[in-house]
Amino acid sequence: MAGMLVGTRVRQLRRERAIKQLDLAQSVKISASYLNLIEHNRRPVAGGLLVRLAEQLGVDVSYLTQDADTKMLERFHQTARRTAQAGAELDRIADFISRFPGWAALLDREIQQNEAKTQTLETLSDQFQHDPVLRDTLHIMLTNITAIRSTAEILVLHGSLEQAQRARFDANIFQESKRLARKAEELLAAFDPDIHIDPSAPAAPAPVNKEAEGGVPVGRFVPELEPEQVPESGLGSQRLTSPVEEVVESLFVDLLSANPHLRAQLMAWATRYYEAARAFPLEALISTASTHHYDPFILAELSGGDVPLAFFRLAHLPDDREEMPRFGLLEIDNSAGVWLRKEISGFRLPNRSGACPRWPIYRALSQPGQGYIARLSPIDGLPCLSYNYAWQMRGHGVGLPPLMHAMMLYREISPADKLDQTRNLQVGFHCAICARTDCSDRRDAYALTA
Amino acid sequence: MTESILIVEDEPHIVEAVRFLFQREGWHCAVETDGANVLEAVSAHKPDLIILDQMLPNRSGMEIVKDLRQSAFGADVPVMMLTAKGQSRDRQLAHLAGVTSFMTKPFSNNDLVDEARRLLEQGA
Repeated sequence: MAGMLVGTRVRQLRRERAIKQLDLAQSVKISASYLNLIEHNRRPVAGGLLVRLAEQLGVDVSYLTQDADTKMLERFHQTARRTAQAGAELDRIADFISRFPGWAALLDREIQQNEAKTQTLETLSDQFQHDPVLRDTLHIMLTNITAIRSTAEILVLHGSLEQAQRARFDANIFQESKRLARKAEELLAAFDPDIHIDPSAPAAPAPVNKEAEGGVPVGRFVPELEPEQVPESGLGSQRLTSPVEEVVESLFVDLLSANPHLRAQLMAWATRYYEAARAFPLEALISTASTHHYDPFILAELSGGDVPLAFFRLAHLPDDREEMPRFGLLEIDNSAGVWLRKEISGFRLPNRSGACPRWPIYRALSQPGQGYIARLSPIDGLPCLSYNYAWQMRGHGVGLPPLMHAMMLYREISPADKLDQTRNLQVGFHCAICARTDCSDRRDAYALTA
Repeated sequence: MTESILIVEDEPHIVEAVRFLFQREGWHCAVETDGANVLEAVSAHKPDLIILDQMLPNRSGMEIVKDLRQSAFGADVPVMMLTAKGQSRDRQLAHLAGVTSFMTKPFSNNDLVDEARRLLEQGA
């Protein structure tokens, strides 16, 4: 009976005891119509009448009056008063609760959830307005903007500046704009954990991967996992005993002691590394790849057709060989969740989830098995050449839609590349920080729009 | 007589731009970047106008104005405070403390120079 109003309890007890409404009314000395109003919670009941009803129904008074729906009633009243224009019947709230307890409970839940969300929103809004870090960051950005605007105005309106003076102002604008961009990124990183800012990152191109964060060392060249024998007949010819487990245990002892749960991921990565190193022995690969501009599709074809393995291999070449380009790699599933990432300076990758919808890796998912080459022209990075490929994973049950994976292998464009026929994609990193405001694929507003 | 302006601002590129603009008007400029040294700088330079950033290292612009108005050498010097939009309450308090006028960052160079000229002529 918990959760009911007094009148409803009276009505239910009367029915359980098979007492007619008229009989109960007469026994407590009221009219049947008045009892009917009470039972529908349209008349209050208290004092002697309440005691008499309890006696006749054989229960304690407190059983009829226990506090159950008072809070619900009060919430409904408050909601109705807040939205008076909706015209909710204030005098029939109790009746509504009594007659439609299921709907009332649903509505009450919605009201409570709405109140909780409103409270959260207010808390966040308050935090946003009074967060000292946010306030200071915005002040610094405003200072950068002031310097840029004032200096730019001088450059535009004072044409007769001395060359040295003009150069100094140019340099000031450059420095301020860099600081501004950095602050904007820091600010956005505070709201979006997928935006990775590493203040200590070197200015020179250097691979950035998750090893630095205590994760799988994607992109790292591991001599211990390279087959020792040089193949005699080119790509795809070696067969050796796997040293994977031994290498993982010995090389990554620190990583594993810090995070034992990493073992399975490390083993999967190292196994894949070893397979790739066997399929594409280093010296043979370098020799073959250089004649084919390190095109992974051609290299895969020459070695037996495993495209993802070719992508993987090219992302794990030694850093100290100047003749080889440095590749970045992103592997995702069809929910855009990130499985592997190796970032190269100049083109950022998401840490965990989706990035710019224009990236060709997402388009590759719709055409599994077909290689897709595209130039990437990021709004805030270096132009890159990307190779994209998606494939179906194996063994996920009959009748289930296939789980897909896709890879994007990318590198900086070099002067030797002939890209006249290659599709050029104007891309960003994430809509929130992309200034291409005319982009038809945008899903989030540009956070820095005035 | 050449008007003298003290620019109190810790952002060097803003200082460089403002100083360039003022010097083109023929005004002499001195610069102070640390809030703790402003009173000393006013006493030494005896400026006709102070351009004062609200947020400075060590002391806020408002604290500086309060002390300035109590001093013998800075009670009447006009002070133009550089503030950010949205700091209306801070502005009210600064006005009560004795700030003569405000300039919102980012500002137009013309507005800055015009306002500085107005304050200099007013004080002359």
